[in-house]
Amino acid sequence: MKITMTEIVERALTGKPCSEREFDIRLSKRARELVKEYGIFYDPANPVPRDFGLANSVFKAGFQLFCELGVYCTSTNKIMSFSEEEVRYALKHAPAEVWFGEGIDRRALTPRKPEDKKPPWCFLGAAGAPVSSEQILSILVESYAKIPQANSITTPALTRVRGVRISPGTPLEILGAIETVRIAREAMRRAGRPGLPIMNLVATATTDSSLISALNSEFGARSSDGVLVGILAELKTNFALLNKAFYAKSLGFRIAGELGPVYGGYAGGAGETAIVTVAEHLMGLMVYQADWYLVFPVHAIYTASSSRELLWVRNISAQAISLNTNLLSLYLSYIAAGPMTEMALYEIAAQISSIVVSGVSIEAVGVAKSRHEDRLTPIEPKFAAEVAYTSTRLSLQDVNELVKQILPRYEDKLKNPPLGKKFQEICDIETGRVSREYLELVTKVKKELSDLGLPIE
Amino acid sequence: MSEEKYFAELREAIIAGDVQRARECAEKIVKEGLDPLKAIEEAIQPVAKIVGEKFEKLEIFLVDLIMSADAMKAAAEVLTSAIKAKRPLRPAGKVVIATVQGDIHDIGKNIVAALLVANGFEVYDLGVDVPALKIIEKAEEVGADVIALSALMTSTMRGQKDVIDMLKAMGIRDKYIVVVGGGATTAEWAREIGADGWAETAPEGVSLIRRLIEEKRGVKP
Repeated sequence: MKITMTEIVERALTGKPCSEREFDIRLSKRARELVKEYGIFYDPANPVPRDFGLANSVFKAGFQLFCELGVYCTSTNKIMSFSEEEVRYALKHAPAEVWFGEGIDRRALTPRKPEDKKPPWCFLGAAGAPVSSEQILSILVESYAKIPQANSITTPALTRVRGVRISPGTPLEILGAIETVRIAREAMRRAGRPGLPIMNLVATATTDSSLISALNSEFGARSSDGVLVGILAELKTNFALLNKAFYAKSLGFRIAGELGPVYGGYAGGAGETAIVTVAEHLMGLMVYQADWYLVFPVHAIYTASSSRELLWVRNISAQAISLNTNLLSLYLSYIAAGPMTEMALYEIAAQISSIVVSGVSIEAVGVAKSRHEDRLTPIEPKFAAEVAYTSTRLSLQDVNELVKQILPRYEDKLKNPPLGKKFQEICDIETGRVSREYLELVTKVKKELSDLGLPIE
Repeated sequence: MSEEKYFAELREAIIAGDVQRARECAEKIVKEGLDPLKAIEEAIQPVAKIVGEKFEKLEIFLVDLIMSADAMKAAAEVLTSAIKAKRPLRPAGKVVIATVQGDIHDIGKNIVAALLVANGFEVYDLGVDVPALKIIEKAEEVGADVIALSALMTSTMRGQKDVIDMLKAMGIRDKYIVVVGGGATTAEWAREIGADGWAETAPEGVSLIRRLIEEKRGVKP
């Protein structure tokens, strides 16, 4: 039988007590052991592996890790445990089709398989990157909605509302969260796509109270939108997150388990991070009863996901999930470089092409690590969508060869990436029109990628 | 057994992250009448540097770093108490570290804290979602040199500014070196809020803190 949300909370309250430090160490050690037991090897020479036996081993190890360790609740310092039977039952009955959006933009998100010819779901936009004003948020979302491949929108996060910097847990955060939804809806209407779903409700809302406030339909949120509920690294949650999941679920929103395992962090190395990525999918399924998954393994030092190790972690974990489940997984690409740089476009090409052939869908793009205010334009997600559609015509082997040629073009710059220019320096702030210089740069890189085997139309 | 052999044993225990063995090695060094200060300088400090460098290259991972830091701390406690009778040993610096109010992310902060411990700093880790006043009260209580503030989210960065503003309002801003870091922050942000420094990565954060303390103490870096 399906576990109810009440039972989930009960397990957080009555689970086995454990210190957080002990849980972290236990996770690291067990992940390391399982990598050895299952013979999982990271091969830097092949960042896009085509070894389904290896992918299946990653899945089995991740499944075992989750069932053995459970989930740590930092609010109670207790471990929530789940049996293998419970997890298998939940996997069997996980939704294999979830509908988002309204009117002509209503679409079903469905699973993909490695080398699937079906285009990925394109969740396009800012990936919660910071923007300094309501005006920039508005013009960006309007531009995102005009990208033909967009199935859903990922909004930026406002850092200021009415010119005042937002503080978490204050009414300013609630106001910022409400304004984000209201402005985004209006911007999509202007673009002629009022039914497009927002799948990162609500990027500006950090606390449970502001998220709950912003989900009120009065401000434009719809139950056909997606709500992200974070997983704390690694395999942890708390009551504020459970509050978000419980409330959004009760209103019928499509909940995503949002997981960003840290390579080099408690997960450990590449093999360990891949199995933790699988385990955290299962946590989303069991603890948040997620309908879909937003996945972004990141590098502890570079805080982006375009390095060689991270490409491997993303691709092998995506194949593991895609081959063994129907879970609806979207991988978010964080790039280190900023807009209007060749490096940014190469990072996008490497991540998007490989994750699409690995059998999942995409969220694009976290530009300049989603860290630097206003360092994003509509060009990066548009370019990502074009790469994604082109990649459906390629095989894992093709993309492996492609990525091997792209990586040397930016690998040595990951520590100190070029930040490029700000939105205001590249785009017309009234119309969103992109500078000719940037468009020419994109044309140049597309030509180079075409020569390497990625013929973007 | 020669002095170098005792020191080598201690180094091995620290690299292995074996707290119990590191403590025992330190106790043996004291019992054998070897110079505890020399043990800190020649066994612990070089290993701290190696461990930090290995983490920066991700040749080791966070759990290894934390366990080595714990082992170093255990050994250093034994050796320091042996020295104290002769002359007080000054720590590399006292650091109060926290993730600011509203933010519950701790990995980055934990990495910095572990590296600081490994490098001989006295670290007071207040955890996550910590109110500005609580951070300042702790700094006052322990006589900290540095307040280190982490924030992952753009929506929680302001908590760093709140600490600095409160220090100013209390008239004690100049008492402390305030450094900021975390996923959402930038050098530009650090300048905007009047922090003394910003670092993108944990190892850079440790170097920054060391440099700022040396500058404040008037020691040439």
